[in-house]
Amino acid sequence: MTGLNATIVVERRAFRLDLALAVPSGSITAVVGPNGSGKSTTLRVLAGLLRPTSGRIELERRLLDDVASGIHVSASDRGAGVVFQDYLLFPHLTAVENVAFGPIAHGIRRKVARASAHGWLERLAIAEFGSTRPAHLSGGQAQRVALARALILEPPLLLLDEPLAALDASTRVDVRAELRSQLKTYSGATVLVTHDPADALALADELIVLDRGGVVQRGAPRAVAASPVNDYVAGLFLNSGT
Amino acid sequence: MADLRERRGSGIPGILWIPAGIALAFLVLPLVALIGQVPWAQLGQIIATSDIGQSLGLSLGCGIAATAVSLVLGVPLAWVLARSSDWHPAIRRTLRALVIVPLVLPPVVGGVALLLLLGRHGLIGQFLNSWFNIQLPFTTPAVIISEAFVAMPFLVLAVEGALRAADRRLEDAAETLGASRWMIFRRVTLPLVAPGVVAGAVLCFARALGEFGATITFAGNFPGVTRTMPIAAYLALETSPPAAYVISLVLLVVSVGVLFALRDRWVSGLSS
Amino acid sequence: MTAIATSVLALAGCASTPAATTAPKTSVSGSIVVDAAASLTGIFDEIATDFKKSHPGVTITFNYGGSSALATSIVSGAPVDLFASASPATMKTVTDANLAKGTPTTFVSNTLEIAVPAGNPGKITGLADFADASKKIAICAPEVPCGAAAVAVFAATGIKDKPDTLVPDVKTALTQVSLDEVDAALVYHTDVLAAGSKVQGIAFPEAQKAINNYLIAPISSSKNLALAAAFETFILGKDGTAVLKRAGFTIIG
Repeated sequence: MTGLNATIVVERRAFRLDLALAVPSGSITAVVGPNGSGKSTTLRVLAGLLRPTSGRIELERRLLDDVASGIHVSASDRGAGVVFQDYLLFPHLTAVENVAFGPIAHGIRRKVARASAHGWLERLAIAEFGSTRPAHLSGGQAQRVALARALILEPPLLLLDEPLAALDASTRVDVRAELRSQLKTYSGATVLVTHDPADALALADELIVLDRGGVVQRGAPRAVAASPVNDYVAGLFLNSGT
Repeated sequence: MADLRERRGSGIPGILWIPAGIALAFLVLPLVALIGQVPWAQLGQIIATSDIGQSLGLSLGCGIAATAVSLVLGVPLAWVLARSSDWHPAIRRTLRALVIVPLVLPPVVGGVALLLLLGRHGLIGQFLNSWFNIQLPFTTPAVIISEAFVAMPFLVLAVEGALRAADRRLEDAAETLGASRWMIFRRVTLPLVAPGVVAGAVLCFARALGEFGATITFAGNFPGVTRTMPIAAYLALETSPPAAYVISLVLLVVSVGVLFALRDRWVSGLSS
Repeated sequence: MTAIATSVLALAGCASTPAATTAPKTSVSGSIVVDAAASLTGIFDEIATDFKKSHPGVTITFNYGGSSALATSIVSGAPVDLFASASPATMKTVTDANLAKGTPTTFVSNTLEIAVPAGNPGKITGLADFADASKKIAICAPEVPCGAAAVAVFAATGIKDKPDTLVPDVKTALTQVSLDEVDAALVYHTDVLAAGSKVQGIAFPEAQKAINNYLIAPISSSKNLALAAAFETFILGKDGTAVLKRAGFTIIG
C-alpha cells in the first residue's frame, strides 16, 4: 500500500504512546483525544521532530524511521508538510515570503519560489494578502497561508495539528468547510490531530480515538460516533462544541 | 468597552507616580545641571582649540568596532546560553555568571586583567609578543578590546533574553520546510530576535562610548591613538572644567543622536 | 555628628584614663576630617596614630584623593577641617575662595624619579631614555600635577619625550610598571618607595628642576579649628616630620 505506514512507540516517564497508523495516499486519518492523550507527540514523531523510542515509519515505501536499524530521517529531509497549531507563520515575513520559504530552503531561486508561492495563494483565494504580515491576517486567512506553505512542496504526507482550534466558533464552521474542499484535491496521505471529533466527522476517512497514549477505538468516523465502545468515547462526541 | 479601556489607561496606582517621578528626576537632573554649566559663549572656541574632534572620531570608531566585535562573538554566545537548557544546571549557571562578571568588575580591575592576559608578559600576550611581535597595550586595538570586554555582556544578556522569549516552535516549522540549521538561524531565529539584538547593540555601543577605567589601564591615553572622549573629559576636569563640560555635552549629543537614528531604522525595518 | 563624637570621646576617655594623666594636658577634643593628596595615603594615618597617643579620644577621618578634586570639593562646601595639597596651584583654589585659615604652610617636597620594573628589563639609565621611541614609556598627563612636573623637567632639559601613554594618575603608571608593561614611568620618589618590591627607582639629577611642594592649611569654615590646628602642628613637628621623611619626602623648614 502506498501512503503512510507507521508503528510508533514513545516512552517518557509514566507516559507510553503506542500507536499503529496506515493512511493510504489521498485519504485522511484523524487522531482525536484530549490534552495529554499523545496526539501531539504522534504528530511530532511523524514530522521527524521527535525520535520514537521504538517503531518504524514508512512513507511511499521510503523508510523514515526504523529504530531497530538506527534509521532516522531528519525533519528537514523527510518532506512532510505540517500545518501547526496556531499556524506558526513567520511573523517577520509576508504571506508570500512565508509560502516561498520551503522552496527557497530547497535551493529554488527566490524569484521562482515567490512566483510559485503567489500561485498557491491564488489557488487558496488569498492572493490579495500576499504582501501582508501574519499579524494583520485573520485566523481563516492565516490558516490558508499555513496550508499553502505546507502544500507548496507537494509533500507525500500532510500533518495538520489542530488546524481549527485557533479560530472562534463562528468562523470555524466556514473554515472547516473550506479546508474540506482544499484537501479534496490533495493526493498525499493526511494525518489530522484534533481534540474536536466534529473536525474528524467533517474531514476524515478514518478516526482513531486516543487516550493516555493508547488507541481506544478506530474506524469510520460515523461508525465510531454511532457506536462508541465506552463512555469515554461517547463523552468526546457529547462534549464536541460544533 | 470604551469605559473599561479608559480605566485601564489610567490604571497606574497613584503611589507609583511618586517614586517614578523621583527616579526620572534623579536620572535627568544631573544632566540638566551639567548642561547648565556649559559655557555656551566659548563653546565654538573650546571645540576649535581642543582636540575634541580627534577624540570624538576615535571614540566613535572604537565604539562601532567594539559593538561589531560584540555582535559577531556575542550573538552566538547568547544563542548557546539560551539553548543550553539540556545542560547541567550548574554548568549553565556558572556560564551565565561568567558572562556577567565584566559587568560587576570595577573597569580598572578589568583593565589590569586584560594586561595580565594580553600585555607583553600576559598569559597570551607573551606569545603574541615573541611569535608575531604584536604588543597590544597602548594601541587603538587595545581600546576596542577594552570596550568590547566591558560592553559585550550587555549585548549577550539582551540577545539571550530575546532568544528565550522567541517561540522555538517557529524553528520547528522552518525545519519541516527543509531549512538547514544555518538557514533557520539566519532567516528565522535572527530576524525574530532582531529587536533584542538592536537593543543590545545600542546598550553595548553606549557602554563602549563611555568606557574609561579599562581603557585607561589597558590601552592607556595618547592623543589620536587611545585618548577617547571620557579620558579627554576626565583630564580636562583637572585643569579646565568648562572644557570637560563641553566634551560631555558633545558625547551626550552624539549618543542621543545615535540612539534616535538606530531607533528610527529599527522601527522602519519592522513595520511594513 | 556631635553626639557621635561625644560618645566616642566618653568611651575612649573611660578606657585611657591612666594614659591621659601621663600625656601632656590638651584642650582639644572631638573629631575632624582631613583631605589630603593621594601621595600622602597611609602616611597621615600613621602620624594620626602617634597623635592620638597624646590626644586620646579624638577622631580623625581621612579622605585621600587627587589634590585638584579635593580642592574643588572643599570650594563646593565639603565639611573639611584640614587640607594638605600636593601643589601650590591646587591650594590656591582654596585660598582664592577665602577658605584657608591663615597662610598655608609649605611643609614637604617631593622629587621626580624614574620608576622601572624590578630588575630594570628595559635597561633604563637616565632621563634621556624617555626620548627613545623603542622603549615603552608612561608619563603623567600634563593636566595632572605629576604631568605638569614632567613637562617642566623635559622643558628644562630639552629632552623630547616620546611617551606611549599619558596616565591620569601615579597609581596607573605604577600598575603598568609593576606589570612590566612599560619600561619606565616618571613618578615621585615617595611613590616608588610606596610601590614595593616590584618597582625600583632611578634618581636623576635633572629632577631638581621640578621639585613639587606640598602645602597644608586648616579650613576656615571648620567647626573644630582647635583640633585641626593641633594636628597640623603635630604634622609639622618632629614626630610628623620623622614619618614623612621615612616615606621619602624632603622636609622644608
